[in-house]
Amino acid sequence: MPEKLLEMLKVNKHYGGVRALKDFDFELYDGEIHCLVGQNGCGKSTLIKIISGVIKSDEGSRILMNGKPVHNITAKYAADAGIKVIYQDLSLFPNLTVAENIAFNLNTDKGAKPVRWNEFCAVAKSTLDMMRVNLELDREVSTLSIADRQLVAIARALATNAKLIIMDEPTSSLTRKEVNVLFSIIRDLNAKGLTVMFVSHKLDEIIEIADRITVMRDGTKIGTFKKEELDNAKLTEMLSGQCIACRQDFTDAGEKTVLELEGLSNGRQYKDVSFKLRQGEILGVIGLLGSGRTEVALSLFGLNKPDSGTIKVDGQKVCFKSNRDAIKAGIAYVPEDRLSQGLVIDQNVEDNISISIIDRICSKLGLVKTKDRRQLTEGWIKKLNIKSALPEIPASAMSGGNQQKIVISKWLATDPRILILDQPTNGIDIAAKSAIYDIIRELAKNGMSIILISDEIPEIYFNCPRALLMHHGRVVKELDCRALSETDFEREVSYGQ
Amino acid sequence: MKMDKVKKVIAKNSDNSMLLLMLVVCTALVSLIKPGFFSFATVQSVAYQIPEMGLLTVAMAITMLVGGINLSVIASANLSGIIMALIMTRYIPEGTDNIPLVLVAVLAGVLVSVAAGALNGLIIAHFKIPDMLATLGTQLLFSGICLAITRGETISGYPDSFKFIGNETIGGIPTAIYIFVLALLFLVILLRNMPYGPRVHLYGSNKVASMFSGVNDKALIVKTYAISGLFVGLAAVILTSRFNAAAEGYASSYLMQTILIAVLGGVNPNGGHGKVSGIVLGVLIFQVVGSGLNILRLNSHLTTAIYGVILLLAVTARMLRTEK
Amino acid sequence: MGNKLSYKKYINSSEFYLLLVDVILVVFLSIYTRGNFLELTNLRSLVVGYSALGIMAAGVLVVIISGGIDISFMAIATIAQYAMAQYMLHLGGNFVIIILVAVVTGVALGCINALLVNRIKAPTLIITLATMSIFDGILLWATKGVKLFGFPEWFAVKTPASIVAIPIGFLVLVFLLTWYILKFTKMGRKIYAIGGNIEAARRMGVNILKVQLFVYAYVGAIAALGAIVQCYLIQQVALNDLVGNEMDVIAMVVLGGVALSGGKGTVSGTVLGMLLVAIMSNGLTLIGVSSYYQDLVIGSVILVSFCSSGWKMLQNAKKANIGGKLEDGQG
Repeated sequence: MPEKLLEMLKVNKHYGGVRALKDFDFELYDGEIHCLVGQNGCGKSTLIKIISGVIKSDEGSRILMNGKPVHNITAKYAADAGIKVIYQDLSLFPNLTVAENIAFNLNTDKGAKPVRWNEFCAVAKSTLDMMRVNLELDREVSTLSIADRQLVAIARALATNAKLIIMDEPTSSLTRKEVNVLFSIIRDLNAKGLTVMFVSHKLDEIIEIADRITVMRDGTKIGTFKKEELDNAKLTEMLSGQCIACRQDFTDAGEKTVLELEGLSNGRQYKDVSFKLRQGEILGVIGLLGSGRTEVALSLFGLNKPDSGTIKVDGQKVCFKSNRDAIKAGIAYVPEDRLSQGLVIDQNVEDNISISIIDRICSKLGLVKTKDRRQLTEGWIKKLNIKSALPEIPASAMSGGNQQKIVISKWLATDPRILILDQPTNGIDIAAKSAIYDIIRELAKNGMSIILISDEIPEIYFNCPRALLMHHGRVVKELDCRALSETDFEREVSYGQ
Repeated sequence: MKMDKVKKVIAKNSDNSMLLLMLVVCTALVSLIKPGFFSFATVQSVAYQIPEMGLLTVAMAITMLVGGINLSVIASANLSGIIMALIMTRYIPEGTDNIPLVLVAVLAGVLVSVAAGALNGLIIAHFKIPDMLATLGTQLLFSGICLAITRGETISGYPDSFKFIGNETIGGIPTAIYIFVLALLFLVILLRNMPYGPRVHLYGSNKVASMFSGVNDKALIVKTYAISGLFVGLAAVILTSRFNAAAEGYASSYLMQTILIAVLGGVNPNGGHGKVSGIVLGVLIFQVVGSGLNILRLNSHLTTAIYGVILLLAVTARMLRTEK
Repeated sequence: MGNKLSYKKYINSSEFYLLLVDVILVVFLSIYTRGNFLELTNLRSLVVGYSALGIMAAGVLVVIISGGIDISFMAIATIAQYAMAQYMLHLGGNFVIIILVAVVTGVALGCINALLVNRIKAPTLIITLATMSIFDGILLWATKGVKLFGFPEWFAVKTPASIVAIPIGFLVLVFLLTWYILKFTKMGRKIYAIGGNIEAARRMGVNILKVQLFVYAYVGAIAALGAIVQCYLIQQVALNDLVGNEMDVIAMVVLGGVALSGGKGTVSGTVLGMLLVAIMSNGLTLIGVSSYYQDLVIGSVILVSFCSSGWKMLQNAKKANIGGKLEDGQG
């Protein structure tokens, strides 16, 4: 009977008025590979932060490590106990080199004062060699691609004596090949006694690597299962709690081509991207982070000038010097990162919604027509059903789904003809997701052309009659979602990468 | 229902309510120390000093709104004053007056400070130099220009019409107050009723999201620092008039004080938040406290130290309030 | 491997350009002044004028690398100088003891800064602006601006050589110490780490408070050392001597190539920056530029150099263009 490395009983955690974890029970066995599954906002991050000592659980929670009760896990306690976390944002030091990052905890572990650079490099090299990864040791991490940075973060966790490694969405920007490498390393280390906790929402990867799987939703544990007990369908149902967007509801696109890309290329980001977008069409773009899809979108939005190729809007060639030009041309872009790119979180709803078109609601003297502005704000709140939103309250007071609706309102207010949505339902609960899909479909029915970028297969499959698969900067395939079954679509997407 | 509405208004202006309370308390305290403080005469004499501090603080505060800082306000005020002084002393013989020329001098001074502000804005926006560094550099540059022009001497001897601005009253209220009020009105309209206001607040809170939303960051920064320069120029007019002299290095202690008042008045040094009403209350509190310390015949150095303590208290208070 | 910069990298770095500028400046001045620049008397006045500031620059470098800034260091230096001078005048002692007195003063005041910076979530510029006012104000009030002189025999300048040797000795020591700390100690790594990504450092278990205590105490201590040297050189303590020269020190560090946001900076760069500021000021005087124009010239040079390095960074960012155009938000 394997030892219990970690046991959590009735763990609760409040943040202000929100309960992030509710009576959470959890067991982690020594030497297992355990996967934590759940949508964003289910409490995964909170759980990790508690285990690694970054935050404290509420009173009344009981935590045992190796059978011994721990009153309060501090960061130091966790570090000493060999608990390493690789966060989603990687927490690397961009100003330090690869070697310095990997060996960072090495020299802070030892008591000796002088830092031995040779030791740094030796440890870094051996760790990377073990991962079968080749990186220049003295390159500054800020100059690395996101995928490479993730490898450095993983190497850092492996470099010092680790008993438990927690990885938070580690594969979000790895190619299939790199995921295979990662998994073989994990299995290797696991065989040598390392316990791994793997947090992800990628169902097929989870089923592949995990021994046991804990499913979370809304701060509670739905259940813990052995790998054999689950499959994709069961998992989806448990995660979502309901069947969302389970049917395709496509409207036919118009004849007119509103957007055309020919041979668009930009350095190493993407090459030779060509496609057409018709009026009223919802075009899906699916690909991992690093596949170039966001970079192409940014180029369409005027924020990432391409090296070569053409962009034609309504048949006219365009060259955007800034995103203001793109907005004028009727293109709107809902960015990937809602909190730092989409919204200004501590300003109020009205300012957030009206900011992009504020000079359109001015009088001849240049004064803002406050009445019109208020009407505009309240109009959008109503139209998109942004619950509990008032023009004067700060955006931070709203839920993720409502925040995203505010971002969408802002862009819809610019009266765009082409709307680009980049991972629009990231970190949003099921009901809000469904509401946003309805909004998107309604817009398309009324003639707006939409590009939907996502790496969630169902999101693309059920909303887009046509999807482009991007990989390593190229459009690899065009998929007809009407013609393919869901499983076939999944297969095309997974193997195309 | 009505109680709710009142509560809402108070909550919305909680910052200002607290400042108002502080003002009342400070005035009461000082009145205890010197009975008769709250008399027309004292109020009037305090009122003389409010506009220059207030305008300089606004100049500082508006750059803080956008997430920056302007360490060159005093140096550019001096430069502006020197330009005005030069024009007046060179073209208006001592003892005479020439109102149109005085106006030209004033205009020139304000233009100089606006240009100085715009220079700051250009350096920060186009070369992406951090605001602290850029304005430290321009501060050195402007003081350098001042020194080069004046060669260390003071320029004084202004016509009466110019002296009127800082030293006389219209209807019992110092002339400078009228200038201050008009300038504040302009600021309020700018921040509340023009597109500039929301853009500044959003940009100060989150540069990236604002740029995504189409805010022209470069234009915004240049505009902000130019407006800062405008207020600096107005302050310079009043300062020069009151001191009846212009030289390099004047009012250097004012720099920290403007930051103090801005923070006290609720301006977030990280950007995005700040109200004109708060700044006004901040200036008033500062003047009352300053007068009080003066009455106590406190050594000016000790006063500086106390201001430092107040600044620390003000940032701490702001932090505690936002953390709630 | 690891920390050694290859020659190619160095030549492309901005530090190399700085080195070039320094060299060109020296050559130009030597020729223009027909060798007067290189004469011993001039070099001596160079040392006398700028060694104290140069020493302080080493401390300021450390603060900026940690991601903060401290503009109260000059006020701290003055207080340390005053404490040391009073000790000498009333209690005698020797060189070692007075160094201790000054350094302890610097460390204590620096720790106050550290605690405030750690607890108060406000820009370090504003916090140290406040403490600068407090330190300065209290000192000037308590001492009533009195000048101190008439120090014991052992403190006097013995030989013409020692007026150069002692300051340079301190300078070299301080720079070596700073270099060693930054490059070879755990603390040094942590300072860079906090400057680079303070949140990541926190997660890695770095005790942020400890590092900040070290950093601000260090700049206080180093500033105190600079004050000792200054006092030694002019054999008096005048409380308005040092204050007002903060800009020169900051210019030395910034011209030497630090990132104001933290995480980057080298001792060698600061040395070159120090040389640039010192040589430039000295050179202007030699050429005969009146002191009234010097600030103007130096200010312009500083601005131009900021702009050109800013321009260069923008160009580099455009060339690299990894992961999209806007900010670091996608890291």
